[in-house]
Amino acid sequence: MSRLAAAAEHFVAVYHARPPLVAEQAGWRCVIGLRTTEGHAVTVRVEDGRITAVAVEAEPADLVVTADADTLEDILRLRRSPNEPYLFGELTVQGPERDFLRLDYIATRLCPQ
Amino acid sequence: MRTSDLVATSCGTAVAAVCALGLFQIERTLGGVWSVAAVLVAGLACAALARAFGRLAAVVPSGASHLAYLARAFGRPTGIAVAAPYFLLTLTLVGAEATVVGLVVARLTPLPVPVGAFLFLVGTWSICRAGIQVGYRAQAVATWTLLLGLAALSLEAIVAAGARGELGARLVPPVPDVVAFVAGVGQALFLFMGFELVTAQAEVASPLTVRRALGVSVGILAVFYGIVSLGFSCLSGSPRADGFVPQLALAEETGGPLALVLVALLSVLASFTSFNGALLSLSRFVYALASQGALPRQLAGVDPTTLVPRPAVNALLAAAIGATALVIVGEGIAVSILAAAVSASVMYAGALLARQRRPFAESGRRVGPRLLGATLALLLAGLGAAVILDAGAARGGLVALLALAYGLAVVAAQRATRPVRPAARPFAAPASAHGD
Repeated sequence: MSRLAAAAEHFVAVYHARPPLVAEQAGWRCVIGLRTTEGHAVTVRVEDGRITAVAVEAEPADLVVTADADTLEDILRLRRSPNEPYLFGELTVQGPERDFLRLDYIATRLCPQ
Repeated sequence: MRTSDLVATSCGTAVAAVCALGLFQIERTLGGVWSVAAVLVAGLACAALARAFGRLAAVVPSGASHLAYLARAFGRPTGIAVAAPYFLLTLTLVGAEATVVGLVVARLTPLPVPVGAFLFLVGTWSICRAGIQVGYRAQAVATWTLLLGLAALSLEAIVAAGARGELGARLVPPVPDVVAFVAGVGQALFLFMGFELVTAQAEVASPLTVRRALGVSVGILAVFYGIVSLGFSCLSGSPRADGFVPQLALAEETGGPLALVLVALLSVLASFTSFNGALLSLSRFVYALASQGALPRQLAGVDPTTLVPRPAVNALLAAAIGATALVIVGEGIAVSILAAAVSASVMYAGALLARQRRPFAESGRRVGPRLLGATLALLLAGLGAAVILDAGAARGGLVALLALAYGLAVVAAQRATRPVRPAARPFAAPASAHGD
């Protein structure tokens, strides 16, 4: 398993360990592509607010999040808020703003202040 | 997203009610074809900027736009120090915008200016806070109606001046002095300010669409402002000292009461879309900075249902009300317009220089375009200086406002880039994934 995929699995586990947070996202459906600038990819499928699949490949996605591998791993392991690299252009997003805002909300809630 | 949607968004962001005051100020200083020339020179600079911003958005397609570009090119502290005042002074401009709305409302109703301005701010805030976004199509209809309506009224004013035999005298006044003309170009930059914020849409639009929209918007804005400036030159009445709103004067003189009401409504609608857009984008900026500790962390909350950063939106309303009070009590419309023009010059110069650096500069880019970009950046910075030099009675307030904005930005830059304490260990999580 790649570092990115392992980090994604960690994120999913932490997220699902917070049922109230998962419940808040009820109705959210999205395919999220995580891409590193080094060429690695992971695709995460969200159904009704729950993450139902993590695939270690680049599949068509509604929302594509791109950053270098270290940045993405730090975010997925909750060592960094996604806001910081986003604000400074080190993480970019392609896709509907609403999906990104929801993902950002979840990551920020999980990330310790 | 289509190019036409982005063009409407770009023009709608740039054209606010306060722009008419700025344009009128340029026209009164330079007059006739000279004010048109100032607008066109500023438009040419913005056309070059449009190309540069197109490249920046293609390499870093980020909703954080300016801050992201400058931070990537020059590092985070410089990025914050240059981009934050631009956004901060946009907020000051909201004070001027709300005041103009108050003047427009006061022209048509018995409501005093401060009450109209306050109702405008609170009304827009409540809509934004509820998470209601104006659709692209609705915004486009409002923008095009306003632009076409004002351009038509201006043409009518020009024709009327021709019929009175005044066209030559109105359009060809004496040649202005060089400093006044350069300052006029600097002020004209303010009229285009915000056109490039459409780069934030690079997350939902292709780089080509964004680049096209930037160029087309600059062309439309230059033509629009040129025509309206000539319309202002041909107004037969002289402006009243207090509460003069040039777009209403133009409508009243050429179109009568019906045109007056229509332009007033469209003007308020344009202000609403501008302030609503500013609240949405600035609140996310404030939220992101607060979550980094650059601003108080209490501002970093997000409503889970609407995803609106409500504490930041509330803080922005408070700041906008404060800015409006300062503009009304301190008669600071001119100061806020000039400060915005200076911050735009600095921001745009920074963007052009960022274009010359990694990761934005192509490897092997020819010396000619690089020199041109650097020269234009220098000229833009010079325009900012000319605006300060030519500010006359407003210079003291202008310098104070700029010192405040850039001082706050430097503090924020220091706070955002200080060493971060190690994050606490996240709570224990189960080893398996997918939550099944």
